[in-house]
Parts: sequence; C-alpha cells; structure tokens
Amino acid sequence: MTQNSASKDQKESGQTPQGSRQIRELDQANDASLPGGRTTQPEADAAGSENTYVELRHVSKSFGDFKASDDVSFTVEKGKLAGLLGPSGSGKTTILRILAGLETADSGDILIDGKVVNDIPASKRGIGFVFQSYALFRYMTVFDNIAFGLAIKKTDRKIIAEKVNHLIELVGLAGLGGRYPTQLSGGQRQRVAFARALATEPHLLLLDEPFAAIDAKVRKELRGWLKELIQRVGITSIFVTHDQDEAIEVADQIIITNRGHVERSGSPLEIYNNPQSSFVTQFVGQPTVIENPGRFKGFRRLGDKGGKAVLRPEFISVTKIGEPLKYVITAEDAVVEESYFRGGDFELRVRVNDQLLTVNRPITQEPIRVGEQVKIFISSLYLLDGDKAVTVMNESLSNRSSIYEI
Amino acid sequence: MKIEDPKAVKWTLIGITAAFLAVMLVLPLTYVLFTAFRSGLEGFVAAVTDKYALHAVYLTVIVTLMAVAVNVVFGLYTAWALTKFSFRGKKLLSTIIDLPLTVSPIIAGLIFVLTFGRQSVLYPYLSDLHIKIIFAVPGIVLATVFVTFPFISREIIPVLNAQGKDEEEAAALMGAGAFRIFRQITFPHIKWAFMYGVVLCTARAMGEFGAVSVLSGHLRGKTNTMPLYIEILYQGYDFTGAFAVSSLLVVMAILILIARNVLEHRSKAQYLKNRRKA
Repeated sequence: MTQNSASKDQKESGQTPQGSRQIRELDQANDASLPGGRTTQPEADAAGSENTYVELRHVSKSFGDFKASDDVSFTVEKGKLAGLLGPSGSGKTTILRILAGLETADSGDILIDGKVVNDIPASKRGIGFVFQSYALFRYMTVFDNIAFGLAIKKTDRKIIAEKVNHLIELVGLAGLGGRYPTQLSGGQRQRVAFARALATEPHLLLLDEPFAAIDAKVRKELRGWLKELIQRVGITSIFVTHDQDEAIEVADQIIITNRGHVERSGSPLEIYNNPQSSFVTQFVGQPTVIENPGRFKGFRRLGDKGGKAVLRPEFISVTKIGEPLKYVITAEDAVVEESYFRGGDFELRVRVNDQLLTVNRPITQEPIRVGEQVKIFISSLYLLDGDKAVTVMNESLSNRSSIYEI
Repeated sequence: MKIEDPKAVKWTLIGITAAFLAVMLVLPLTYVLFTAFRSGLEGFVAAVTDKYALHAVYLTVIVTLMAVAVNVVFGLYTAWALTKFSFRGKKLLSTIIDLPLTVSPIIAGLIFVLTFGRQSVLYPYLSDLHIKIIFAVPGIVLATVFVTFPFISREIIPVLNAQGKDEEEAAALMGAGAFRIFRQITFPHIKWAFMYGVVLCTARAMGEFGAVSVLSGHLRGKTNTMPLYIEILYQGYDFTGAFAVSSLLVVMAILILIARNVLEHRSKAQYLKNRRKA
C-alpha cells in the first residue's frame, strides 16, 4: 500500500483511539524522515470510537451560490483541543457556527456525545462559545457578564457569586468584577469572554479566532494560558484560526479546511511532517514552491519532465566554502542574496539554478555575508502530484533508485 | 478680511441661521401669541376653555397616546425583525416602512377612506359589527398611526445595525429566551434612540393634519383634533380662538422639544461617563 492511499483511508475514517495515537504519531514522524518507510498506522474505525465526542458527517451548507461547507466530516475526541485551520474564507467559522447551532446545515449530521443535535436549538445544546469579537454584554459588568448564563439556569445567588468569583480569579481578573467591558484591555476582554463561556460548565467549548484581536505579544502569552486552562478544566474544545503557528502550538489535533471542505485532520506533528495533500503541503510550514525539481542535484531521477515541488527551510542546509560537507556530490552551488536576522538564526535567501530558496543558519555558526558563494544541500522535498504530495529524499540519503517505492 | 478667517465664517453662519430662524420661526410664533392675547386674557381663557376646544385637546392627547402606543410596539418589532434576521423581501419591507415619510398625508387619508369607506368590500362586515372607522375616532387613530409609524423604527434600526448580532447570539447560546435577550441585551442598547423616536412620533402625531382631515369628517366636539379645530376657527374668522388654541399646541410642542433635549443630553452624558471610565 502506498502512503497516499493509506492517508486517504485515515482521512475518511477520522481519528483512531487515543492509545494507539501516540504510537502512530511517532510512526508518521519516522515515515516522513526515513527513506522507504512504510505507513504502518493501525486502521481503526474511529467513527464508532468511544472517545469521539464531536462528529460531523457529510455536513454541507450554502449561502446562495457560495458553498461555505462542502461535505465536511471530521471527529474530535473527548477532552481534546482541536484547531480548525485554513485560509480566510475556507469555511472554518461556518463549521463552528453550525456546531453551535447558530447556522443550520443544509444536509449532513452533527453529533455531540453520540447524539444527533441537528434539531436541537443553539440555546439547548449547552455549548460554550467565545466570539471573535468576544460579544461581551457592554451594559453589564464583568461579574454580570459571567453570571448571565447561571442566572438563566435559576442558580442560587450565593452559588452564582461563588462560581463567578472563582472564575474571575481563575482567568486572572481578580478585582475587576465591577468593571464594564469598555474599561478592559483586549486581553482582559478575551479572558472575560472565556470565563463567561465556561461559567455554565459546558461540555464543549468553541472559540472563533480567539486571539485575532489581540496584539502579538499578549497573543503568545494568552495562547499558552488558554491551552493550560483548557487542559486543567478538561473540556473538549474546538477553535478556529488562520494562523498555523497558533494551531501547531495550541492544538492536539488540527483540521485543515480549504474551500469549504476538510483537507486533512490529524495531530500537528502528523500534519506538519506528512502533509500528504498538495494544498496542505503548500499551506503549512514555510513553503517555497519550485518548478521542475528534477534539475536539482540529488533529485535527477525525477527527470526533466517538469512538475512542481515544495521545499521548506528545514530541508535545506547551507555550508560555507571550506566547511566540511557530508554529501559533496549532491550539494549545489549557491549565492546568498539576502540575509535577515531572526533572533535565534539568520534567514538567508540563496539563489540556486535560478531559484530563490529560503534557508536558516543558526547564529552560533560562522556568519555568511550577502553575495557569498555557498554550498547548499537539499535533504528532501515534497513532490506535488495532482492533489497529492509525496516525500522525495535526496539520492545521497536514499539507497533506492525510484521514488515510487517510497 | 480673508474668507478663511474662521471667526468671520463662524459669525456669518451664525448670523444667517439666526436671521432665518427669526423670520421663519420666532416672528410667526410671536404673532401667534400676540393674536391669541389680542382680546385680552379673558378672550384667551374663554377660547381655550370652550367646550369644543377642550374636547379637541382631549381627543388630540388620546389619539397621540394611542398612536404612540401602537407605534412603540410596531417600531420595536420591525426594527428587531429588520436587523436581527435575514429573510427574503427584507429590503422591500425596509423600503415600505419609509412610505409614510414620502407619500402625501392626504393620500394616506384617502387610502383608509377607500379601505374602510362605503365603497369598500369590508364596509358591510364592519357595519354589521357596528364598527365605524371613517369619520370617527378609530379612523383618526389609524391615520395618525400610518403617518407616524416610521419614526420609532427609523431611530432604532441604525443603532441595532451598528451593534451587530454577536451579543444576542452569545446570550442565546447561554440559553436565554427571546424576551430576556431583548430586555437585558438589546433594550439597554437602544434605550435612548427609542425614547428619541417616541418623542418624534409624539410631536408628529399631535400636529398631524392632512390624513386626519380626510378621515375625521370635522364633527365638532366629536372628531376634531386640535389642528382641525384650529382650522375651523380660522375659517370662521375667529382669529383669537384659532391662535389661542394654536398657542396651546405650540406650548405642547415646546414641551416635547425640551423632553427631546433632556434625553439627548442624558444619553450623551451616559456615553461620556462610559468613555471616561474606559
């Protein structure tokens, strides 16, 4: 069985139980880096898995002529934090709103905890929702905002006060309960929105671009905070983002959407190391699309038939002339055209065979100047083949002669 | 003197506005009061305490209250429907609401005469039920409601549109019902715009002449509102009476204007208070 057909099966069957998951992650990581590695993932039928908490089955939704969701199917396990990742307009938010009951699917089933919830109104689904705009009630104090859901459930006043104060403390806003939303910073509002969504102790938390409206520095801090808090509360959560760093850093599982359908679902490591589809390959990481990959040394066996491939900076190493070189035969000559200091390393733009490539060099190594002649070595690339993407190793690393045996 | 001199521009503009208002508003109003008291205080008192005059005041207040009450409900519902939901024909509905602002009040009156009058298909049923609409109080109320119905919804719609649906959706997701959402989330937001709409609606309802004129039948002591009564007095060359009752209507209008300014001031103060705290 080839890697591609295996991945297709996996995509359709959704998630495997948690236990085998860890192992599979490692397997897949190995698959991507080892030449000739076969996919040995266990083909568990996840649709019936005990751990599945949220499931979408062939959900479609159109707004006029626009297909916002096109046969969307995926599953999320109980207690996991899943990220819906995709470019803007790819239908992520629609999926979230359908799950919450704020939009009605044209066809397909939505299952939460094993029950079809298609006909259950939003107010009865018991879902916590954090809006992109936070949607805090602007005429209510922080306390009243968080207490709102509890007051509806006719909870005893004392218990409400206790719970709300506990939540205010939990999200680090102690002493700010009497403030109005307009008197809070963006990060603080986000925390209130989060506390409010958690107040009624929902079993599912949905977050729409939770960090989009926050400046970069606070965002980074809030991400870690959110992940930790969600793990502590142990609530199944799905968040929408267009920022892959955010998804990779925060999520246990990433669901990649493109033009209304799900391209791929899996752990961040799986998706990063084994993107499988052409779209995902060109979306995650820091991809450079190159034409005619057969012209690069080490990939001659791809022939001169043209085609496209994707390179990432981590696939390329750069060495100064005179530095020891492991694979001399398959190293290319290159000229450094640009150099950017990125803190931990330099990001270099090098020209090889008329192709500009991006490569990183740690600052601990001897610096390379702009205009300098260097050697680069491409360890692997993703060959794009229609909708698919296949890993191709450099000949020096692979003892096989044909890619089709990978 | 340069034309760009802001001080000169400022005082020129103020001067023009003041002169315009003096000629168009202050002078006529002064003349109204002057004529009203021309035959002395006694004449004025006699004119406004006249049986028919009192009834006209009474009818105007009643009609205004009813029209405002109907339009409060109608205005809130329409504004809610037009801003919180998407549906087919929404644009059309939104346009139709503005119709009373563009159509002549006379036509509005005639529409109801045709709908409920003798030549209408509804007339036999209505007369069987002993319901009299044309040349009676219900007709006047109908006409007034028609003419004033855009005022409240038109004030609220922009505010609701600016607010978006997020807060309501958030409340709904937490299990809140429609009434609670309206009371706790939506209404606090539109409160001042709503009250302003009520003020405008009241002012217009009190002063409505055209549509009411067509439907009322001008029955003294029965279907004459203040504007109609004033016209009758005027046509009868009773200038003192006409202007005395007019001055009453003017005083009522001024009271409404004051109410409007107080509301505006309050909403501004509340806005500034929130801003300052932020």
